[in-house]
Amino acid sequence: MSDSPCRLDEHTIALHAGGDLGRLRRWLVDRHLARCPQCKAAVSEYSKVLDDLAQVRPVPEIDFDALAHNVRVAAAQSRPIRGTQTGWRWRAAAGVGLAAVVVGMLVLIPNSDDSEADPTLVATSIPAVPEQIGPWDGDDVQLTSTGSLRVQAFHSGSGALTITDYYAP
Amino acid sequence: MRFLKLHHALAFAALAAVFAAQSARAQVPQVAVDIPDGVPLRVAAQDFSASEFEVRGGAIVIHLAGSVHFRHHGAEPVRAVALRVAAGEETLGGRAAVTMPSLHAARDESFEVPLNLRLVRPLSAGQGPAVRIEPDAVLFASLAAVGPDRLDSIRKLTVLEMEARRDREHFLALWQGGGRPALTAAMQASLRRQAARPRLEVRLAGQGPATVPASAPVREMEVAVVNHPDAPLILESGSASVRGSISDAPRFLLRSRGGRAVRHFDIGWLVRDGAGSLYSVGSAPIAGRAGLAGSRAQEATGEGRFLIRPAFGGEPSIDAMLAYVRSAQFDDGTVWVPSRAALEVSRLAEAVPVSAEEQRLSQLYRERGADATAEELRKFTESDQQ
Repeated sequence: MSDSPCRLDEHTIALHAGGDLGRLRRWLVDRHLARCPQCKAAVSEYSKVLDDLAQVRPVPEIDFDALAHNVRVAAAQSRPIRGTQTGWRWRAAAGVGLAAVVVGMLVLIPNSDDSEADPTLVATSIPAVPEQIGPWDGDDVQLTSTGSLRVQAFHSGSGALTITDYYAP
Repeated sequence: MRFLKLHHALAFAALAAVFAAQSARAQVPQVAVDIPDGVPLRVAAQDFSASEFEVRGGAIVIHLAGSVHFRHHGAEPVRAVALRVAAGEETLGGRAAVTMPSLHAARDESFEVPLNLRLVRPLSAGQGPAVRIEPDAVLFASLAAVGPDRLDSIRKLTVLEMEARRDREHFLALWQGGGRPALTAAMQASLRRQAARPRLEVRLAGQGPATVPASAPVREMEVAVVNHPDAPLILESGSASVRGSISDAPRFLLRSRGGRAVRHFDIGWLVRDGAGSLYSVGSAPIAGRAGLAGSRAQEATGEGRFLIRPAFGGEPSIDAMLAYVRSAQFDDGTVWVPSRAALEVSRLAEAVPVSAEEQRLSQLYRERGADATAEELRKFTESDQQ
C-alpha cells in the first residue's frame, strides 16, 4: 500500500473502507478511486478484512431484558419489605443497580458466546418468601389450609412440643 | 475544592450516623409480651437474650430465640395456647404463630413457651418493640376458649386437642390392656414410622415462574380421594394444575354428609413422586372461609402455587395426588377428626405425619421410658374426664 503511486495514503483508504470519511473527503476520494484501480483494489482489500474481522469477533448482543430481569430479581430478593426505601436508599439502590448493570455488561461482553440460557430450564425460581426467613433447612414443613408453613419441634428436657406457623402477608 | 471536601465529610458523617443508629437499634432486643383483655394469663418471666437482630438492607432479620413463662390465674386448667408473634404487621415474613398444645396448667401454675423462629421487620416500621407477642387463643380442658382469635387459633387448638385426646385414649388403652410391653411396642413403632416417613420440601413458589424442566408439560391432574365412612364431608373429586414439581392449589368438589352445616374443614393433601413414594404436603390451602351447608355439592378452591419436592433427593416430579378430609368444625364449634382405625384402614397412617401429641408422647418415651409416658397419659386422661 505504501508503494501506491498516487497520494492517497493508507490512513485515508482505511477510513474510506470503514465509511468514516466526511462527505467532501469521501466525494474527493470516490473521484480518485474512479480512475485509480490500485487504490480501488486497496479499498476493496480493507473492506474484505473488515468483513472478516466482523465475522471472527462479532459485536456481542446483550439481552438487556434478561439483564434487567436479573437486576430486578436481585433487588427484590434483597428488599423483602415494601415501602421502606427512603430517598437516600433509593439513590444508593440506583447506584448499586447501575454498578450491577456495568459489572454485568463487563462480564457478559467478553463471554457473549457463553451467555445463552440453560435450555433445560424455563425460568429462574423467584421464591415468594426470602430464604433467610421462615423454616430452617431440614425442618419437616407442612402446609396448612390457610397457606402458612408449619413446623413442629419437640423440646428435649421440658418434654414440650411447639408448632410454629409462618404466614405470608 | 474545599467545598467538595466539606460536602464529602458531611455526607460520610451522615452515613455513619445512620449506620450507627441502625446498629444500635439492631443490637437492642426489643420484645414485648402483651396480654389481651379476658385472657387469664400473666407474664411471670421472659428471656430473649439469645435473640439476634441483623440489619439487611432496609429490614431487620430477627432470629427470635427465648421463652415466655406464663402464670395462669383462671379457674379451668389450660390445655393449649397459641401466641401471635408479629414483627412487621403486613410485611413478608413479619408474622408467625407459636402454638403449644398438650399443656396441663391448673390455677396459679406456670408454664413455659419456648420460641425459636425467624422474622423480618422493616427498618422504617417506627418506634416501639421490634417484636410483639400476645396470646391469640387459650384453650381450656373443657374445650372452652378465650382470646382475640385473629389467626383462627381457637379452631386450630381445638383440632389439636381432639387429635391429642384420640391418641392419648389409644395409647392408654394399650397400657391398660397390655401393660409396658404393649405401650413400648406402640411407641417404638411410632418412632420408626416417624423416621421412615418420606419428607418433602414445600414452599410458596411465588407469583413469578419457577425453575422447572423445559420438557415438563402443564397437566391438569385429577386428585384421587379417600373418604372415611364417618367423615361429615364427602370428597367427590379434585384436580390441580401441575408442571414438574410445581402445583397450583388443588380444587375440590365436596358435599356434606347428611346435610349438617360445617363451618370449616381441612383437606389433607398427599403427592406421589415418579419413584412411587407417597408424601404428605399437609393441608390443601382453601381460599376464604371454608364452610359448607346443605347436601348439595360445592366447590372449594385454594390460592397459591407451591414447589413440592422430596427433601432428601428423590424424583422431583408430581405423578399423582391424593386427598382426604382431615378435620371439620361444625357450626356449634365442635370438631371432627378421623379415628385412628380409619387412618389405619385407609393406609394413610403410613404417609401422613403423626399427630403433635403422638410425636410428643413418643419423644417422651424415648427420653424417659414407658412408665413416665404412662404416667403422662393417666394425668391427662383423668383431667379430660373431669
